[in-house]
Parts: sequence; C-alpha cells; structure tokens
Amino acid sequence: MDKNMKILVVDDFSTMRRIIKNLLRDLGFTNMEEADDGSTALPMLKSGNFDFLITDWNMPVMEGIQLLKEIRADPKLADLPVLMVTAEARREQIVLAAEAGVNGYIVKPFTAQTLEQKIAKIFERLNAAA
Amino acid sequence: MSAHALPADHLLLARRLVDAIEAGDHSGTDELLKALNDGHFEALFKEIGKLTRELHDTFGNLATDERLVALAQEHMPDARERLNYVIAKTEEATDRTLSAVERMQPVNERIASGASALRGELDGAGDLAQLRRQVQAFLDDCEGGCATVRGGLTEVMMAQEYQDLTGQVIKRTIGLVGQVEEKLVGLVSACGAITRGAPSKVAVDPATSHGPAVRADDAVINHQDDVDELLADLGF
Repeated sequence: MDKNMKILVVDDFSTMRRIIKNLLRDLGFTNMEEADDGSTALPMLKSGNFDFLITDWNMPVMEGIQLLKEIRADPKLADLPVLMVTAEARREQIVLAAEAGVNGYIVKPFTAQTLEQKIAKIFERLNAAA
Repeated sequence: MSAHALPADHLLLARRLVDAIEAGDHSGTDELLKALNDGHFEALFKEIGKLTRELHDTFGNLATDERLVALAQEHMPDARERLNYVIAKTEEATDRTLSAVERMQPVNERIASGASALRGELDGAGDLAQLRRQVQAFLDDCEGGCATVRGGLTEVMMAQEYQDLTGQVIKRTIGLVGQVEEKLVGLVSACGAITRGAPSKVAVDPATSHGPAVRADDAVINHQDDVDELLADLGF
C-alpha cells in the first residue's frame, strides 16, 4: 500500500474529519484532503487525482450513498476505492451500499484498529485483483 | 354507528312498508319510507352533533390548557436552545481534546526517536563527553515534553466536563418531550373517535439516512463484526 496516496475524507462534522485525518496520519498517510459533503467532494474527485475516498453517509445536500453512485457512474472515477465510515447501521443500508459498489463499510463508533484493518483489506483485495 | 341496534318499531315499519308495496298503496309507501328515513337521519345527526361537541370541547380545552400554551410558547423554543447548547458544548469539548492530542503527539514522537538514537550511541559508546552531552540534551527534552504532556492530559480531562452539563440539559429535554407526547396522545385519541383509523406505519426507505442507532432494532447492526459478516455474505 502506498502511504503517499492521495486520500479524500468526506464528513459534514469537522471533528470527525479531524479524527479520521489524525488516525490516518498515525497510520503513516500524509497526503489528505477533506470535504464536508458529496456535492463539494465530487468536483474535487473529478479534478484531483485522488487514490482513495473515505466518506460518511448522512450529510446535507449530497449524501454519501449518492456520492458513491455518482462515482461508479463516472468512467474516470469508477475504479476509485471507497470506504464508508458511518453511523448508518441498518442491514438494508449496508446491502444498498454493497450493491452500489462500496469497497468497505465501517460503523461508528469505530476504533483506529478497525480503520487500519479495513484499509489494508481493501488494498489487499485490489492488488490481488490487479 | 352501524353498531347501534335499530329501534324495534323500525322492523314494524319495514313490515308495513312491504305490505304497502305489495298492495300497490303508493301514498302509504311514501309515508312509511319517510317515517323510516326520519328515524335514521335523526340518529345520525345526533351522533354527529355529539362528536362535534366533543371535538369542540377538546380544542377548547387545548386552547385554555395553560400547560400546553406554556409548552408551545416557552418550553419548545427553550428546548431548541438547550439542544443547540448541547451541540455547541460537545463540539467545543471535542475540539479541546483533539487540540491537546495534536499538541502531545509530536512530543511523544520526539522523545521516542531521541531515546532510540541514544540507545544507538550507548551501544557504540565512543566519545563519553559527547555521550554525556547527548544524554543531558535528551533529559532536558524529556522534562519539557513531560510538562507538555501533563498539560495536555489535564486539558483532555477537563474537556470531559461537557458530559455532566449536556447530560442535565438532555434529561430536561426528555421530560419536555414526554409532556408533549402525552398531549399529542390526548389529541390523537380525541380525533380517533371521529376517524377511527389506526395511523399507518411509515415504511423505512433504506436510501435515506437515519443517524446513529439509539436503541436496539432487528434491522440495525451494532457491531463491526456483524457488518463484516453481512458483507462477507454479499461476497466481500
């Protein structure tokens, strides 16, 4: 896994963005940017050469699930790995996210270890597939 | 209203109506039909009148119920303000905690790398005067670093004060919500006498967000392990 990869962290709560960025920094990642909802994240993704997206579900304007669908529908972004970190924990929501093509799903509250494991697993699987 | 039994004389009137129709007695038929209808409508109007009075009284009582007026005019806006206070307070606490953590992290890193560099020097153990200076510099750094960490830990501890404050505010708001619920139940049961319909259950749309799960529910998954299991079932 490339620790210099460019990561976009999307959450409407600045404290949660801060926590995720701190955890990522602890894991050795250095190249991170943030957005506060899907509608601000999407143009950043389209022009920013991001390697990885971590997004919340419940956000104003454009929710995480819609952002995921927009990404999968865009030929240039379709292969971007997406990890959802959200308090949305209904069975049908997790199924919906899986069907929309999410690469990993973490429910809040979560631990640093869970985040590390899920990121590692996503890139292991992508490398195996490549 | 169909539950009300027809008066016994309705049956008598009906029998006479059949007789009149069979006998071809037009004026008798008309008279008997009118008599039957009059009784029926009278009962219906009486029932509607009773319900209208009940509804009127309910709304009348609502308007003069001082507790309800106070709820709407004072307590609800107050509750909104209180909940906003909870948001502000928890946000402030999180910011304080995260700032303290961010201040302490580089100190920890510096001390850890200083210690491992020093261990390397000790293993080599060349110039003792040079080593002494290095140890002294490291100890100075450790003392300064410990002061920073001590301050940071105190700050993290103090930031937790929000729990007490917001807990009290939320408790009061829960009490208020209980009062509103009680009033609404009264209103719904008064209206229920007229509509007699049970409220339809709102369907859950998986695409809309629900926020954190605050109580156990079959459809809600509480542990990351369960999420992982579900995703594994889906081929992840």
